[in-house]
Amino acid sequence: MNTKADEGFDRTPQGQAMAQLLRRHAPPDSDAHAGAKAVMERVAGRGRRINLMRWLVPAATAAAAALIVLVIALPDNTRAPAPPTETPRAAPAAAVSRGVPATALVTRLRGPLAGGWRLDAGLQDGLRVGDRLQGAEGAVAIVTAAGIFDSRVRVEGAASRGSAFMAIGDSAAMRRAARLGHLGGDPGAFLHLGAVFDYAPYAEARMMGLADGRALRAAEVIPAILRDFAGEPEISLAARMGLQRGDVIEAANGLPVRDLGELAAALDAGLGGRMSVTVMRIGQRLELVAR
Amino acid sequence: MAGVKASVFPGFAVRARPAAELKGRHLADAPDDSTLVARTLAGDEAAFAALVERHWHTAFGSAWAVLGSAGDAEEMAQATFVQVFEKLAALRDPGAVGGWVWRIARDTALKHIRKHGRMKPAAEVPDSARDEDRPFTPLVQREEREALHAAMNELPHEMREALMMRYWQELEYEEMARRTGMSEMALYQRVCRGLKKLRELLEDKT
Repeated sequence: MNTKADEGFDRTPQGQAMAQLLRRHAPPDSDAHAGAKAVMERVAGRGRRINLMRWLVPAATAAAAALIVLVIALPDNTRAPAPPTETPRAAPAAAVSRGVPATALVTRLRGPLAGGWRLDAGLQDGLRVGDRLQGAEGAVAIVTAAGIFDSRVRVEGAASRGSAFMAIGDSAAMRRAARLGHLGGDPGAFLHLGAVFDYAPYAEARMMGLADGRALRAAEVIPAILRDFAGEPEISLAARMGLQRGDVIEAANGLPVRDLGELAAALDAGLGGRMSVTVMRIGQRLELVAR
Repeated sequence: MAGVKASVFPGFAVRARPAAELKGRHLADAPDDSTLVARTLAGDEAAFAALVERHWHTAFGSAWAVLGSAGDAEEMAQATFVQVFEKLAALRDPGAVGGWVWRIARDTALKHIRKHGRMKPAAEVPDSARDEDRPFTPLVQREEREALHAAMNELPHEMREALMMRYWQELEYEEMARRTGMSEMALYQRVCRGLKKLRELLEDKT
């Protein structure tokens, strides 16, 4: 088998799609150390049932206590009906454990700023302006500006630096983050542009005269991006061009574009000058320009 | 074009970690499976505990794939290792414990289903959510999970194990190397090959 040829496959859109598929169906966390301990008990205790019971009873008590502690520590998780098995897993489940939806996005407040608080999750995690995150003791964080990796939030209720906030499992943020996973490549690059893409349906692309039926379509346009945390949100390049959701990309800077790689290369070619994107919008061909 | 850094767009296509960065890093401080099996058979309990801990996620992941329930999967994983302990002397290739554990866990979980029935299917995603995301969810979640796991069963175990560590446990290559005693480069190649093979298996099915 030619191993060299496969190197880098994990960075191709196909490889990324497989990685996202695996992540979407990842099993919940399981404690290998505790598991091994239980197995050793069973192996050693075969034929000695009394010993087994002596282990099982405290274990069950401890598990129940841990569950109660978790329920108290994470209020308002009653709104999370999604089972951990069927929803996409997007965030590293650092503060999430068994018994709590493993799909929640959990993030922390960093230092307070003049314009609000800084939060450790951003566009790439599916957060958008207006999203609400739930914190401890009824505190709520509302996103007022979003950067790629972090956001600025307004906090209502008691919170301090380091407080955890979470988006519940089936929230819009989680769906958006899962959607980014379908894109392949690095969504961050496209969030800089201010747009998220998917592929137009085959038949639609064929009707536009694209022979192989493959065409990028803007799935979401993000109007403003927080580039520098201390600064103000800037109008995104996509918004300055007037790109709209549903626009099918034909070309950028005069180069034909069929996938994300080609779009990245074409946009790169125009950096520092006039940027143009040719799109099909409801049967019309438009050239969108920004300087 | 003020405000857009020159590195933004090209970063998309070529973010792959250079191979040279991974080469030459080989952190083999763990005894291999054959050593642990031999020591277990010689009566060393700690060796068996280490073996269980090393392959716990394989057994748990395999059982979970069948059952879709963490509590049941944990129980099945425990039962799997009790069987492993009993049958260890009969294992012909002590280096292939991982694949063996995966299969036993799967069989144990299937047996459990035959006996006790399947868990209730998880609540469906509400229609409104699905409409919004339709272009992005070509398969219903459950069908997708089952197709994935059917393909996972056909993968050679070393690829499956690498994929599980990388994408289920979200381990870094350094940590994977520490656990397996293989080089990071070899693990990276396994992950890439595994992803490619997985894709081929899934394409054959559709």
